[in-house]
Amino acid sequence: MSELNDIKYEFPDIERALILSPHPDDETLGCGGTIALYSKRIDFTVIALSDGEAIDLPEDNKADLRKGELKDAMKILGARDIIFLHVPDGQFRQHRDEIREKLTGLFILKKPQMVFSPSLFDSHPDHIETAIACIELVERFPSIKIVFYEVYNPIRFNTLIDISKVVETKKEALTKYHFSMLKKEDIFISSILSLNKFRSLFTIKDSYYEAFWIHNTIRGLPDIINWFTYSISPPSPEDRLLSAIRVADSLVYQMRTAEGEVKEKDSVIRHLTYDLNKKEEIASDLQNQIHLMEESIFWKFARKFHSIKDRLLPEKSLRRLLYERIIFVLKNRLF
Amino acid sequence: MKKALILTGFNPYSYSGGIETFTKALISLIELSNIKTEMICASDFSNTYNLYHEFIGQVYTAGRSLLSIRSGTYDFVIANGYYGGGYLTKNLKTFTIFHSTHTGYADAIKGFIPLSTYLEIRYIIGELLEQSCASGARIIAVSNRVKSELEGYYGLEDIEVIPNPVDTSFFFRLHDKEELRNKYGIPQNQKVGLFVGRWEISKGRDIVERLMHELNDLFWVGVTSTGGEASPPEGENITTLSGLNMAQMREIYSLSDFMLLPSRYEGFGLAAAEAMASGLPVIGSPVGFLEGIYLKTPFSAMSIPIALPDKNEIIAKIKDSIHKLFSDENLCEEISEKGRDIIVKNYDIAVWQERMKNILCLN
Repeated sequence: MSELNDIKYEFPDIERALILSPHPDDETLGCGGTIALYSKRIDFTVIALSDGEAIDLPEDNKADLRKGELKDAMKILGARDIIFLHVPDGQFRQHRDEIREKLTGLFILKKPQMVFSPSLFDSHPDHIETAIACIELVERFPSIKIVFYEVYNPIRFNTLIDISKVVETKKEALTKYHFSMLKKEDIFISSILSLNKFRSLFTIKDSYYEAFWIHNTIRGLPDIINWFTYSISPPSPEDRLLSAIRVADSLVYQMRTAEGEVKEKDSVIRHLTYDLNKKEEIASDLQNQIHLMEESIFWKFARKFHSIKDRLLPEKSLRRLLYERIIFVLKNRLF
Repeated sequence: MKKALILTGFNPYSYSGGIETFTKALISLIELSNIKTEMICASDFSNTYNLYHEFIGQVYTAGRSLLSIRSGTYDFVIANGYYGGGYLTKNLKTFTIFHSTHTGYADAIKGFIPLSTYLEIRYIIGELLEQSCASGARIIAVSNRVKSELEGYYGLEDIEVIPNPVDTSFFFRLHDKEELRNKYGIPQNQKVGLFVGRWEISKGRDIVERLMHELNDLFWVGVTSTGGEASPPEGENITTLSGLNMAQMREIYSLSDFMLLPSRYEGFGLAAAEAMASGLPVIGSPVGFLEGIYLKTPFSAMSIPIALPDKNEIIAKIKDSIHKLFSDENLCEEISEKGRDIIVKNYDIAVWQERMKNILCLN
């Protein structure tokens, strides 16, 4: 926890900041408390990159609804300057050049000291594109500092702003986003406030915090990624190759083992099939013998005799007694 | 004094095979330019990273060992195909010579090997090791076929094609056939078919085996190299030889009447080139450098399809080619003469030496 010593709990002394919001509501989720806290001191310009029209709602005028919600929320938080860039929602990647061009103009026009952006590691692709655009532009405007804020993913931070005093204001602003939050604003509000509450884990103080990473000396995408990932070195190309070979080698080994087992089982099946065929041959031979026997004159005579035996030798007749006596004697002699 | 490092699989002075023959020629060429050569053989390394496949583990370990070599220790490194696997970050000037692609090789023998072996050859040796060998290196392919495979399978570019060399001043037809046959105990009164290579499915051993039995009026000589997957069959009309040196190979080519090369895959096909230089007609599949040769007359009559699982058609075609060869003396002589001409013109060691010197900057 030694890095706790490096964490700032106050926002730098600045006058102008841009807040890049990929979709109406991101700015309030990520830094609504900070806007409310500092809006008297800092001149915030909220830039909604998209109108949020790709949201999954049945309404026809989704863009207007969301833009209206943003305006209402900002009235509560105290940010008066709102700009809409109308970049198609969900298509930031395809509109990279347009985003860079529009933002460059605003950077020149507004002369911000800081630019807020969702972090590089926020899971929405538009958020990531916003962060990348921001990093690239700041390289051309080195006096501007980037401030990354959290929306969908917690980030490594270097600044924690205690928003406990304004948490109800943030909550009120969030309630304005009925459509933006898919008419389930309760879930959004409780989730984002839980994230703000979660940061108490670092301060050991029961409070609400908005976490930010404000870049100071680090420049460029590789350095920023390095910082966010605690400088864990990527594996060398040789290690990556070895890792790929190991996985493939293990899979091939498992497959080869399985092939060996299948081969063994096939061999057992072959032997059993051979035995079965042999036994079927024997059964077939016996069947043939029975058939030959059934076709013999003796067998036909015996069957005929048995069918008329009771008529030829009626029960309890002298002939029958004599017959049974002969059979008895023959059986005893023969067997 | 300048120093070069050669990274290969097996010591060429202990093992016999196309790559080993090539490596010896390469060492001679480099040393002629007064450059000292050292050699790293994967087979001398242990499987340090404990891969299930012992030799792949040795190859990776050998390649990776180059990372500890200080830059400047060698003026350049030459890696023979995937034997440079594991040598990914090339801190030395490196040339990778592809004698084949294992992806192409695996696809050529797919129906004949277990799936696990196919996947191992194609993905571990091919996609992973071969691609890593190409990364950061100047790439040389031994035939246009290998070049197109490197482009098609791995998306590689800037590939120089330098065909393997044949010393045509050494490989030529010796005229004392009778004496040579006596020397190797081979009958004088039978036509002799020759097979040279590892006795394995990729070389079409199943085809040769069947022909050895079906055409028992012919006498068959099998010259096998190290590392085959089985032993050739025995029979009154078959003799098997192994571990022959170049002089003996020249004698074998000269005492034979034709070479049979029903390979399913060859990167170049050095044995066929040596045989052709020795004036021996080669009945074979269009693999390696033969792909271009068999498009031309009169060689097209000696071309057989690349062996498919159903062998009957191929066997019939081989029999037909043998019949044509023995029933038409002029054809046989034309193939013999023109075959040698092609090798002398395109694949002679002097041509190869010049091209290798240029690419390695040995001039």
